[in-house]
Amino acid sequence: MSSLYVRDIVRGWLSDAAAPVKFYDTENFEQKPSDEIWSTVEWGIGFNQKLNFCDDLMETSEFNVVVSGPMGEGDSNVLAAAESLTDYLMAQKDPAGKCLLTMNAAPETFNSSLNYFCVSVAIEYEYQR
Amino acid sequence: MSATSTKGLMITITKNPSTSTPHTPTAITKASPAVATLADTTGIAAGDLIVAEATGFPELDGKTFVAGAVAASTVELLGSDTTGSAGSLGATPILNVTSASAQTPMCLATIDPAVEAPGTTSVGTFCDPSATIPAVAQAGTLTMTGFVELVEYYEELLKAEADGVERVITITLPQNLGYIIVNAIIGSVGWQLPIDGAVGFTATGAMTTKPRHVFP
Repeated sequence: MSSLYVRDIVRGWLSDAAAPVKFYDTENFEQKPSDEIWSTVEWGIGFNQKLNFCDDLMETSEFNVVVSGPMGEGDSNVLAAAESLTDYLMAQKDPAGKCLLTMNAAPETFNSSLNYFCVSVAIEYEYQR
Repeated sequence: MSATSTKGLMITITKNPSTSTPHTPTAITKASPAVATLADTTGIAAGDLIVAEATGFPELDGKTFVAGAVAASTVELLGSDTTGSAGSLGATPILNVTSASAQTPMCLATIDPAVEAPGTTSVGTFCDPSATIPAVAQAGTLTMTGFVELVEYYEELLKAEADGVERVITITLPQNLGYIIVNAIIGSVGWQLPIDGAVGFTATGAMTTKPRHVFP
């Protein structure tokens, strides 16, 4: 799973007022979103790669940004929100230069809920520990 | 039989100008390794590099050793063997000591001291057309790779490539396996810039003598 540094910085970007979609942290939190379209994040399996003989490590993994919207209203609005949020995230820079978002996948339908229509975007990152 | 992981391996490079301290030995044993007697070994620690000069022992002069056991007035020259030497202590012997702390640690991704494989020279005749003798093998090429970062060792590699002055690269092996000493002149530093990856570099040097593995 992604390390705390990565989670904190990504959650910070998603929570920022400049983010185009309202973020709800659902990692061990129960949420009742009041926004029609909202986002959350799910963390993937991380891998550590040793960079050199000085034991510098690089964590590489991906997280999924999940954008949810109302059921029965098509996919355009949710997809547009997901793509806008993805563009926003990929433009973010870690001031410390340790976490770098490297690549994003296209949105895919993510039907994990009976109450919402969801799409998920996988975003890859590198984190120099 | 066992295999040792490279975890804990350390690599250092000497600087130019050299930051060595000269010491005058008052005696050098005929042994393997040789042991030098000094008036004072203050400032000398195990792992320091020692270059011998005008000692009177051809087995030592001009060569690089690693300080082994250091006592109040003696230091072992790991990698040396003066057993059976015909030499005797010269008039103005010097042991130039470069402390480990005066060398620059390098965070390399790979290091490869590739010794040239010995070849053969044909000395064929009609009596024995396939006759060969061993050719003299060159010391070989040292290749080091890493990731570009504006730190001391990367800048030292660039300086080494620019000034062409021989450096000593010391590889300290883990699990008390000793040291590999590489004398090399860095001839080139190049870079790898993949579209999806890290900014890397490759430094290549010509080894001026065959690398040696020395151990207590």
